[in-house]
Parts: sequence; C-alpha cells; structure tokens
Amino acid sequence: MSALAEKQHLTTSSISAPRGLILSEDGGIYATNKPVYTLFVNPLLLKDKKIVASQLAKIIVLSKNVSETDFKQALLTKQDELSNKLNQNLSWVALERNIELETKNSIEELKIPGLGFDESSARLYPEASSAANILGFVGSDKLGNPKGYFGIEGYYDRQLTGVRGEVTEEKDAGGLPILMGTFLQQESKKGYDLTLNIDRGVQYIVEKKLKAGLEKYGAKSGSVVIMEPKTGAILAMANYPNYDPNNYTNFSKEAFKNLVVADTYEPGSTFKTLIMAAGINENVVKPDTKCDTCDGPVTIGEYKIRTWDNKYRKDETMQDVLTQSDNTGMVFVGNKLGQDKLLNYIQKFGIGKLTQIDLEDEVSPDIRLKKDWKEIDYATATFGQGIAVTPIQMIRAVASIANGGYLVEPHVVKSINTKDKVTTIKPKIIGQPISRETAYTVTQMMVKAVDEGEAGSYAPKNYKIAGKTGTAQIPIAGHYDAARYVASFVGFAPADNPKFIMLVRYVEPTSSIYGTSTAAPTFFEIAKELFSYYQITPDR
Amino acid sequence: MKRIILEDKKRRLVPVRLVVMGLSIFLVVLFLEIWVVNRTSTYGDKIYQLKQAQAALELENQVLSNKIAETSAMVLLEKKANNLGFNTINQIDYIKFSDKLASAN
Repeated sequence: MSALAEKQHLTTSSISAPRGLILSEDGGIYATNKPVYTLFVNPLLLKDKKIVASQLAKIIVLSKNVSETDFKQALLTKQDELSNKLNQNLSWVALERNIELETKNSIEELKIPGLGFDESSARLYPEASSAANILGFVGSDKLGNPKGYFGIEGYYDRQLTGVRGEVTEEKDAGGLPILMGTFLQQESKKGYDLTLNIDRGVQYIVEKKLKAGLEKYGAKSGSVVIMEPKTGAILAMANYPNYDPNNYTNFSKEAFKNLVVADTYEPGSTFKTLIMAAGINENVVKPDTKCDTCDGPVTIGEYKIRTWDNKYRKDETMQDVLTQSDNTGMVFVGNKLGQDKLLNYIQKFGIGKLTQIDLEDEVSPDIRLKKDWKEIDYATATFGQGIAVTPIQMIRAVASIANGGYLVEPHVVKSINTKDKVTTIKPKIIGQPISRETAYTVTQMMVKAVDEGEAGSYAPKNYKIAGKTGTAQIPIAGHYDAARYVASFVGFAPADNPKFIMLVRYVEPTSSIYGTSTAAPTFFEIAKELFSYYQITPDR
Repeated sequence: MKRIILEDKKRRLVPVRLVVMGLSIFLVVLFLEIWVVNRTSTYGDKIYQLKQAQAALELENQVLSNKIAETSAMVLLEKKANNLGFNTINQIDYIKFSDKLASAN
C-alpha cells in the first residue's frame, strides 16, 4: 500500500546531459547543441483536423527552405501525411520531429488546443561544411540514442556524450513540487568539450585553395593535410568532395569518407624521399654518390624500369636522382640497401601500420608478407609504386625527416576540457627511423630538389622549402591504368626549422597528370598564405 | 525537620520541571514545523515558476550562443571583409635589420 502511495505522489524525471562542444584552436565553435522539438497532438481534442493539417503543413514546409518549384508538391505531401496522423484514434500522436525553435514558436502562435512539444537536443555545426570530414556527425544508434559517426564525433563519442541525471521529488495533487517533501537528485554530467589543433582561418584557406585547384585541374577528388612535424598536431585537413554535417542525410555515404585517413593510393615519387633517407642512414649512398646504372632503363626479369621523361644521365648523383625524380637512380639506391633493409625501413617509417590518429575510420593497407615480395616489387617500391599508403601515413613518414629523424603520432585534438580540468594531449614519439644527421642531409637534398626541379618555378624564392613531387599510376584490377594518375606534392617549411608539413593530393587530374603542374602549385599557394598567417619571416 | 521536608519536596519537583520544559520545547518545535510546512506548502508553484524561468534563460543563452557562432562562421566573415573592402595581401615587405649602419665621415 505504501509503495502504491509513493508511486502516486513521487515522480521521477530525467535530466538531460548536453553533448560536449568541439572548439577550434582559435576559440571558434565547430560543433554545439541546439534545441529541437517533437510536435505531438491529442487528435481527440481537435475540432477541424483538415484546417489544422493545412496550417501546420504550411509552417513546417516553409521552415525546410524548399525551392519554389517544389513548394506546392511538398505542401500537398505534408498535408496528406499530417491528415493521416490526425485521423488516428489515439490520444498521443507525434506529428513532426526535429522542429527548430522558430518553427515551434510559429506553431504556438496558432493556439491550437491539444498540441504540445517535447524538447530534445540536436547537433549544430556553425561552420557548415568546413572541417566536415574532421568532425563527422551525430546520428542515432539502433535504439534511437544519439551517436557520433566518423571523425571526431565518432572517435570521441564516449567522451562527448554526457551522463543523464535523475530527479525524484514529491508532488502535490496539482503536479507542483512540495518544498519540504522528498527530493532526491543525481546531477547530470555534461559531455567533455574538445579543443582541436585546427585553426579555422588555416582550415578555411586550405579548403578554398583545394576547391579552386580541384576545379582548375579537373580532378575527381582532392585532399590536403597539414601537420606540425615536431608535435604531430594536425593544423588543417580538407577533402573534396565534401558534405554539410547539418544535413548529412542529403549526401551520399561516399562523401563521409575522410580521404586523408581512409583512402589508399600508391604514393609515387614522394616515396623516394624515404628510400633515399634509408640509403643515406645506412651509409650506402651519399648525396654525391654517382649512379653507374643510370645511363639507360633498368631491366628486371621481363620488366623495364624507365625514367618518367625517358631521359638518362650517366653518373648522375643522388641529389640529381631526387631533383630529376629518376626511377632508375632509386632502383640503384634500393640495390645498395638490400631487400631486407629496404623492407625494414618501410616498416620503420610506419608504412603498413595505423598512425593511431584520433579520427574514426582510419585504415591501413597491408604490406605484402616478405615471402610474397618479388625482385620487381622491391624495385618499384623504391619509387613508390606497388606499395599502398594513406595520406596520413605518408605525411607522418616524411615528417620524420622534418623532425630530426623522429616519427610522431598525429592528433587532431589539442585538449579535453571539463568544468574543472583541462587535459592537454601531449606529443608522442613513436620511433626514430633515421638519425638527426640523415634528416638534415635529406632536408637539404629536398630543398635543392625544389629549387632546381620543375616545381621550383611556383615556389616563393625567399623561403627555403623542402619538398618532392609525386605522379603515380592508379592500379585497377591488377594492372596500371595508363590514363589515370594520382598527382601529389609533400613538403615542409621553413626547411631549417619547420613550422608545418603539408601533403597535397589530386586524384585523376585531367589538365595534367603531373604533380609538378597540379599539386605543387596548390602547395606553394597555401604555403604563401601560411607564411603570412603564422608571421614566418623569410629565411633567404 | 521542616528543612528536610522542604528539601525533599524540592527534589521531587526537579524531574517534573524537566518534563514540563521538555514537553514545552517539543510543542514549540512541533508548532514551528507545522507552521513552516503550512507556509511552504504552496511554494511548489513558485519553485515551478523559478524552474521554468531558469530553463527559459538557459534556452535563450544557448540560442544566442549559437547565433553568435553562426554569424562568426568563416564564410560570413569573408563576405563581410570583402564588403568592407579588405583585400588579400599579395606582397609583404619584410624589414631586415643589418649589422652595418650608415656612417658619415
């Protein structure tokens, strides 16, 4: 009996816990929460259901920013839908979900008896499609609870999700709380706020330049990633095609994929920097070592390895090999290294392993088992073909050259913040594939490759920039498609004390297949903007 | 003899006084509690109104924060900057201080 009595005058209600915010490094808001409402009705209290359906349909359709041409049809569809719901013989019917506050206020002004609203929360991304592939979005799980998918929302879903609270209180016959009555409260806990390393200004510059480049070079897709080589902090990351996480249901699933962490490609000549670094680290070659097999194509079994321009230079130095992007010279380096050491260095640079970047849906293409490697595979790997990487793996590996030989773990989040505590994510060193001296030597070689190479015409002259172009064929069903390429450029600046390392990649550019003419110009355009944004003075 | 009788009477009165005092305190506290509960029994409405006011303010806060965030979006800031006549800087001239100073002899 007492339990029954308790049930009558004690009510328990849930206290919602707001999802944590995602903030940019410059204090901007990338993701926050907004109130949304479910409109419900008691149809038994309505007099003229047809008029109510018509009034509500107009307000709801207007709130959805439907085009003029589609408005009439959308209005009729919505009216029919609402009429069907209102004609149900129930005392509670949900009419429309995720209604914004303004729409709710407009509906309330109609003063229709029997209508009510249930408040809940939805995600708002004020920057719209900017940084969408980094952020991800919040959808629902199988039980209808909010859940983060992709990017930061997916990776940090547990930290961002708050813990609901509960209040049990005594209420009088009128449903009002009794001050001196029973009151038990479990406080709700807001989700953690996350501050990213991403600066909105840098991110915006990168996205604008990438989009312009995509249109100019007629590429199918493109991506840019910028990282601080010493700490692994991701300063910007952009992909096209892109999507708006505010309306993610209007985009195809392909757009959700973050090409920087989830797309694999053969890196081509950008990989030469790593193999050259390996050779120099092992002391089997030096920058002035002469290649005595570079006077013509290299034959391996039934295959012939040629240079990209079919030009051959007898006794060219390792510096020339890098500057001219000579495939035969790289095979020379690979032979000097030996197959075991070559494979060992590929692994030491983190190829074939996840980088552990804090974004959901990172992938890592497997490296073939050693027993499956043929002589031709070792040869083509030296110039970045026959081996697959993700852009984040590639930039992390080259960043070791910019960082005194140390490999760092990339991370997007700078700090995790609660009401009382700020936890900063510290840089993490994964390994040291090459020595400091090797890193310095290869850096100078890469600077010369930019200055004296074909891409140099696009580079600002008053900065020392270390870089390498890449043009790689795309493998399709076991063979290379002669018409489809990935053009890329990886580089860091200022070369002697790098503030940033950047990888620009275009998939299937149509204006030119070469990284020199597509990815490199975009790289240098962005770099010029970064020099002034970060107030980096010229070092020449 | 009289003194002994008087003292005896006094001793018997002490527990009675204690009981009376205790009972009085109890009655006062009881009356006080009844009075407080009675006074606050109608405060439920005030509590409800305060909670509603708090919720309305928090909602307004959230809506305003979101508006600020949306109007501070980079796309809009660029448009505003363009409208105000701000241009991209194409060329930055850096001044480098030289060790050599001009001197006149």
